[in-house]
Amino acid sequence: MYLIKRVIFTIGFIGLMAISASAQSAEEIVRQAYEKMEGESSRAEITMKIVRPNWDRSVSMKSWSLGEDYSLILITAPARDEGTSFLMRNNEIWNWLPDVNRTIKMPPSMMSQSWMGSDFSNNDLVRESSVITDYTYSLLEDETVDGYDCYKIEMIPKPDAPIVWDRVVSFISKDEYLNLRVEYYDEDDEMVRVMTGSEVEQLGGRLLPTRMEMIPVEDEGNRTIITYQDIEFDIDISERFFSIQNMKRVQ
Amino acid sequence: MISTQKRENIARCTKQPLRVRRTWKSCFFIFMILSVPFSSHAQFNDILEISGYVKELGQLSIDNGFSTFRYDNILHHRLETEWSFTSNFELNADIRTRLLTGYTVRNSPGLDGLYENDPDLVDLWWVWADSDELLLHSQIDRMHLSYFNGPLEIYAGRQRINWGKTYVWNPNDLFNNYAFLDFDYEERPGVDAVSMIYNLDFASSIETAVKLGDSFEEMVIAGMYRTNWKQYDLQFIGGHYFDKLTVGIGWAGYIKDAGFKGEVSYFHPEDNGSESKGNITTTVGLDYMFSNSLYAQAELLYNGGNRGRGSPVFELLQPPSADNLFITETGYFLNASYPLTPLTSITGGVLGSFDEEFVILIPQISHSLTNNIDFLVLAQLLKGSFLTEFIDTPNVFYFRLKWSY
Repeated sequence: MYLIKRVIFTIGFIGLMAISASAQSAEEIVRQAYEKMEGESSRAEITMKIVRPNWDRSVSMKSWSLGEDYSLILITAPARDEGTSFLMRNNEIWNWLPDVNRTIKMPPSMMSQSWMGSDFSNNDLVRESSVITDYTYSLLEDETVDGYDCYKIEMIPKPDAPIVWDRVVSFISKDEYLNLRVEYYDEDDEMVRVMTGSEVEQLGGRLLPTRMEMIPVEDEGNRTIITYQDIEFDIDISERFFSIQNMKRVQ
Repeated sequence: MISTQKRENIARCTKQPLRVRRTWKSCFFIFMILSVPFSSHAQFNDILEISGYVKELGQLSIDNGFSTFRYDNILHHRLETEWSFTSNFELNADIRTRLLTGYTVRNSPGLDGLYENDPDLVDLWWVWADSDELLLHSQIDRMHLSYFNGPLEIYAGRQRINWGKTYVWNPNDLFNNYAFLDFDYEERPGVDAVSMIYNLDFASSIETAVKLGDSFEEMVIAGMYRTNWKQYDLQFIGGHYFDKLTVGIGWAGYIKDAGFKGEVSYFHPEDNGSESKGNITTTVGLDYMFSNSLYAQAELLYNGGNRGRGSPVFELLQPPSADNLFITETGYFLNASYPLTPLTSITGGVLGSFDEEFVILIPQISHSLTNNIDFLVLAQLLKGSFLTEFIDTPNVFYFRLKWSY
């Protein structure tokens, strides 16, 4: 259950990125790529799998979201946690435990945690908006990733940005703005981890990488895989949907 | 040994008209057919959902001198079914079946009475086999019809009605208080009742519920209004609680980043004799998660209805009543849990009282073996003569393997 709570607070914010636009070329390309995963509202079916040298665990869920402030998540696997759900409205969080028919209000301190189990950090999932506002961009030489002709873009964090990386390099396909590879470098210019996007499919009316894999380079055998089974953007949903009643009723 | 409360319950339920009991018994066999163990989680056209688990629980009880060792074992199957036969109606039925062996079965003549006589209105408890060596019993603890229509929800049958806000003790929980130390009963008991919820907005609702009984003194009839005010979930309750009137409030909100919860209930005897006076039960609790993922919680209890009778050890293992939640007048609970690894977490809890000298230490370690198999080691260590004079083996260690499907 502990592991799952961590996932919830991070996954809950996927696709909720508010981005301010500016028309510079490299920045525009990055913005286009991240807008692919955006929507004012969304519904998604997601599985997250954590792989370690000696074990792996998966958690599957359905999520509904509206803007940055409303989110509802239903766990569909593993069996032990199936039916458990989480409701987030602004900074209030509720947890529904169907076995004991109980709604629990959770402390906000639980939400501001980094998720220790996976190779994604809170920053990756919650603070995506920083991708646009916290870096300066430059175009490097084009490269090919998985057969896609890609822009290679170097992103240097602005001096006051709360980012641990020294630089980040993104590979974004030219025709569909698919974010296919992101490399993260430390202050010694060593690549610390790499994220890849693959299994490009039409989902929710958009062509998207439906599988994202985060690999910490130095920890052999470790990776975290997020796969989207389904996603819909800009669905017809109102603030009223995000209720304690629906936390108990969604399926 | 059977407590006074249990005797009353048994006496009460044997008054049940036989015809009703037989009808329900036959209903049960429908569910027995369903209780064939499934090898995996099954779903049939989104209509019938079946899930459950199998648990193996070993219990080792030891005296303080490490000279007496007693072993009990419980093999446990739980089957949960949910049948959504229209978009408005749903039927839930859950049954737990347990095979008990070991010291307690061998040394407790009449133990079957404890598991045969359902204290609730309809008898949904059965003992299938009872000998000197083993006891096999089943209990249906959920069996209710649900009706949903827009903001309206109606539930009829055996259900869990959970009005509590705090963790260990629940003064507002008029229908389903539970024994905190009975940790292996994860779903907690149900109650034969009819309840209705009318939802007003995202966190506001009006609820009413009636616990059915053979007489007015065996019934609970209560209402609740819930709302959300400045990030606080508030609830106001009132009603008839067995032979008392009750009013109460409960809340769950935040102090900065910490959770802040509490419940207060007042109970007043309906029979206003010169001796009668009311009592208050109240709890207040805090919980917080530190940046290193250490989760801590604390809870305090004032139990104005404490009557201090019988064996406190036995009382601790029985569901308390909302007007008398603990074996003493005050109580405290401190708990901390920490994930050693993403798969393993350790927890340490202390349950005690300010007015009697005793503590119960509850250390535990849980480990996820696979996606669906969990292992738990837990101890309940009773310290202080207030408790230990009632039990030969005050140190109990549990080992549990659970496979969920």
